[in-house]
Amino acid sequence: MANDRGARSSRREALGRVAFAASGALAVAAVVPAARMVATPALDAKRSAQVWIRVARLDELSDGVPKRVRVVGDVADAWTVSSEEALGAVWLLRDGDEVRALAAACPHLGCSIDRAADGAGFACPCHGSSFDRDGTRRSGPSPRDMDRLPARVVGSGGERVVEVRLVRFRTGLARREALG
Amino acid sequence: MTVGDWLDRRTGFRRLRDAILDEPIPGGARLAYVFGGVLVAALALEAITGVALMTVYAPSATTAWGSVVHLERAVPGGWLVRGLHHFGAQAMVVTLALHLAQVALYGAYKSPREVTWWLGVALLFATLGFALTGALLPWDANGYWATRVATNLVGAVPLVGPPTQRLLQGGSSFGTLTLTRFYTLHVAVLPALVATLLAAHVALFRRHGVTPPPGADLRRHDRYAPAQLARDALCALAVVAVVFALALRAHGAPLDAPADPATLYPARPAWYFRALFELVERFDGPLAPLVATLLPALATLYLLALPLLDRAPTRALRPRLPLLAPLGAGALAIGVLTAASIVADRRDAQLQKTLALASNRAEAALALAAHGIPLDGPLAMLRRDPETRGAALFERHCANCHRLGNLGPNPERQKAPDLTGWGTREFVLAMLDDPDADGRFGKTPYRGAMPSFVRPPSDPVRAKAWKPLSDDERDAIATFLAAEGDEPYDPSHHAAAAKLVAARCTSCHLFRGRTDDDDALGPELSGWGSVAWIRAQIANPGTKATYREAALADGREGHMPRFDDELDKRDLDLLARWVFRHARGSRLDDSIAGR
Repeated sequence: MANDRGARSSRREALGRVAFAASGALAVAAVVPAARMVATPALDAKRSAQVWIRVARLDELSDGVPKRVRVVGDVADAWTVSSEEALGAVWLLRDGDEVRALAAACPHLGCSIDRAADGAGFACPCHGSSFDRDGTRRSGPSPRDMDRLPARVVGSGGERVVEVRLVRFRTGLARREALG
Repeated sequence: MTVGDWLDRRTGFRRLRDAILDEPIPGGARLAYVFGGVLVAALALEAITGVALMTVYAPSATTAWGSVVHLERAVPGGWLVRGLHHFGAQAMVVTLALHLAQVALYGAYKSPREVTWWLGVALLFATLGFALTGALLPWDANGYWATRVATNLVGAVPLVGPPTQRLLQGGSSFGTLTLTRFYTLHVAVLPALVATLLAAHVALFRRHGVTPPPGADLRRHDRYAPAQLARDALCALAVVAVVFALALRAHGAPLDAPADPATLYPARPAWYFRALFELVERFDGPLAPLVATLLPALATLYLLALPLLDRAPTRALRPRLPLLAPLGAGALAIGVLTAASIVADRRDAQLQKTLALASNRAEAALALAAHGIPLDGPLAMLRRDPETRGAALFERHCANCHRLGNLGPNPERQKAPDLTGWGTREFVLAMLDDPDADGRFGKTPYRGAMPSFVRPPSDPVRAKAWKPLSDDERDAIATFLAAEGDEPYDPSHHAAAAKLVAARCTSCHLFRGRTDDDDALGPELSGWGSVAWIRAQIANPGTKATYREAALADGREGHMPRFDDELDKRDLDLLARWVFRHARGSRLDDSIAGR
């Protein structure tokens, strides 16, 4: 009798383990693929690849005169792609065959930086930050200099064009931190 | 005091847990009782995968298909989750049928369990509602057309039909509002309904307990855990394993070309609705909606009435057989109709051809989608693609008469030359040999208009004056004419052959605008086969750029019409380029080259 009860209770224990294992496997099977899928943005920190975007012909720029140009390119969002979208604006400064690009977005809060009224540099119309003609911070609430963007001149002869990479930076920080 | 004790004193969770796990099972645990548990597990799988899918899916006519493509292609594990959701739903339908059969055979619907049974029937319909609404969500050709058929059936029911159809569709036609409504049903209304019904169903089941078969040893008692729980969980695991296998084999779930209201598609519903579909097909005509709604309504009525009709206290199977007969007959009918429908489709060559074309369209759309889908949606994407649009234009405007590759009418219904291989050297050689073959002028109003240059004419008088072209001459002419379509074009190519053409062909043909016989029919040979030639021919065959005005004469019934009033300039260019490439690119049919 006692043996019988012992056998029954060990069978019960074994069944219990089977039930536990099978339920656990079920939970894993249902949750893991779904969780992997949903967690993707947290797991993959990959930054969107920055592309060179053509913004102007070199001969449109004169030495020492900053020119504001629109950056127009394709925008990919999830499965969609829209072409010829206005992505932003940059200031271009030509110095002979070299071109420097400064983001038009103010490092303070992202307003659009204009030329200073005295013509000797840049100024942000929102909160009055002002910058030298090379983008160095002069006064106002901006925590840093204007953001310099990668720029290059490609082509040869009269067909030389200016290309930039439109990197966006976090605003309000003294440190320059690129947004993904 | 453990954490468990602390929590139990405040929540009493142990009593709840014990109530669930220690439920007595008179007569002992059985495999026959697993179906309910398996269904709960499958429902949980659907819920979890469904929520994950919601993080990517975007319900609108322009975004739904693209979001599903993104899910299958770009989201890690997205294809697996979608596959599990798709095949898990099918597993639920199968398990539901088995659950219903088990309860019916064991007589578990009988008093006092009538309400449990009714709730179960309601859950069956809610599950089918999930299937029906879910099928539309990818907004692909099959889901779109199958659902349109379903809603049209609803709309054909007298009186209540039309407003119900508009209610479901969110208006009088299919569109984004249909999708958002089906989505709302699928992710909010039906889940809430099923959760409520299921809670009541399980609570009542707990209240009355299992229904052991007659002759079971009722002195034997098991508890739900672990005996029945182990059986439930193992069977659920087996079902989920099958679902995984199916999802892995299909690498996700099927996805058709984006839904296009302008392209007819031989829609087929999911296999578990096939019997109903076949019923509608068989009873084509004014009775179809009646049959499609009346028979399911009768079946539902029978299911609901079963516990009221069967009031004898016995649960033995034999005396209940007459009452269960409709259930067996229904199951048999569903099986036979489903099989008949699938077999009929397999034997339908026309349907298989249409499906093959649809599958090409799906492949083309998926290939294009890899480069991103424009904001105005996948249909705009397809419209802008020259390859897809070219094929669509050819199908609409040319394929009633011309064949090209796998497009066009069956050979016996073909009324114009087969364009497969048209413009090539082989085509010219075949033309010089036997212009009246079936694939060339044989079935056109131009039959007999061009003589063979290999075989003598059957008329003995004309045969006397007839002189064949030598092999070398034919070869030179064929090479020359094939190169007339070349891109880029070399104006000085084969100067000797050009002289030969001018000498031997212009008694009927135009060549560089000149001909010996202004009343003959032969078309212009310079530039023959080029994109410009094809374009001119499609726009208007009677401008002398290709054929002459006589080619469009009313007496020449069945001649090629002009299309410049139907096609705008862009489509003309596109179609000409498409025909050019496909006529030359496709392998020359052996029957043309051989003759």
